[in-house]
Amino acid sequence: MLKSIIASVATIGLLSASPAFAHAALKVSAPKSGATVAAPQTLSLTFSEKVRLTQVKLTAEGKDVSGVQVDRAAPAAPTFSVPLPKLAPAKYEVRWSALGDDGHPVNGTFTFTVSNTAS
Amino acid sequence: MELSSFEAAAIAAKALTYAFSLSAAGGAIFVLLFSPLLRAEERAQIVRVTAGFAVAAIIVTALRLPIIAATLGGDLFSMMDWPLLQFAIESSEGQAALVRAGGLAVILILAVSSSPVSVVAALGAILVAASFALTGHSLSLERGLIPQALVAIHLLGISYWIGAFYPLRLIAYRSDPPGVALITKRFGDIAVYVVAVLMIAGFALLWIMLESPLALFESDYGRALAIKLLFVAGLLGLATVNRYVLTPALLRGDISALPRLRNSITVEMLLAGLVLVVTAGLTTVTGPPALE
Repeated sequence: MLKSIIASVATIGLLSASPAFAHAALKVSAPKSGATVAAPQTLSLTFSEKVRLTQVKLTAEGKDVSGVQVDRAAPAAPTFSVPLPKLAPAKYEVRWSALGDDGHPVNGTFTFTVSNTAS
Repeated sequence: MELSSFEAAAIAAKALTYAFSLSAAGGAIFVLLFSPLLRAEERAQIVRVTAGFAVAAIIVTALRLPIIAATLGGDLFSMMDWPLLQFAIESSEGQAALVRAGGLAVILILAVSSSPVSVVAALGAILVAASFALTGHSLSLERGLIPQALVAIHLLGISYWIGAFYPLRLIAYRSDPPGVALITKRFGDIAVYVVAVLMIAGFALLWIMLESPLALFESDYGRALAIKLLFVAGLLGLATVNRYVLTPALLRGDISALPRLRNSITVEMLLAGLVLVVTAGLTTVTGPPALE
């Protein structure tokens, strides 16, 4: 109920086919979203502005992949490289979250596929 | 536009933070400026309610940090995830919360001491207003201290207005209209300058944030601002009626102007609430064109 009231009031004037978010956003990742690649050793994330990367979770077929950790002591930066464990062929979902310099939390997900046949 | 539960919670907490913090700050300013015109029991009641607003503001300000942690973690349990909470505390939002809580604590001394501390409490109000400039879009613009100073001035002006709702409504329960008129007239005389300054600061911010007047209609942020300005226009209309219709009626001893003043302030409170919810929404889920 409360959520719908807030949503109704807050979206007055915000209705648009293409919402514009002026908060930090993920610009590029490696592997790219939707790509099929050979097992990567690192996950690279580049944001539109300096952020603190707070969390990266990797799942394959609904199960968490262990051994993926971000350096939580790292200062704010636009690009982060997260070491990955050895990944078996599968479709992986990356869930990331970060905190912008302006205090806004942002998060998102994308997928990539690891294949033995990818070059 | 579909809001996630955490976004809805963030907007609600931010709107409540605005409402309670600015009411507490404005209450402290009201006590400083109008104490000589207040009856002892009115002053005591206004101080009690202002202290209540300050405590509520401290609670919702603190609550926003676990909401940030939950947004980062993507689930409710993350509200208590210490590493994520640490990120929130160390962020500009955490620093702003600390300054705001300090300002609110200073305002709370009103509740335990008498008039000489009114000046100190009003300084707490300045800290509260300034705390909102330490985070958010004005910080991201990277245009020096100007946008942040404008936010602080804008919010200090708004707190003068919003913080007077409860005290003026309370005073409107008196049975002597001329006594009430003395206070509403003095409030209106000061408000003319305060509103002028807050409008100038607000439009200067608009200019910086929107980059072009057309963005008021072409961007989501601008459209939300346009809706906010409509509500503000309603508030200004009511304030004009209070100053130029109801206050003269009170000065003439017209007793029927008292319930009309109370009703007018009630509607002002509702409109101000809408302004704060729209502001919380537009600063949480969207951003100014200048940052795109």
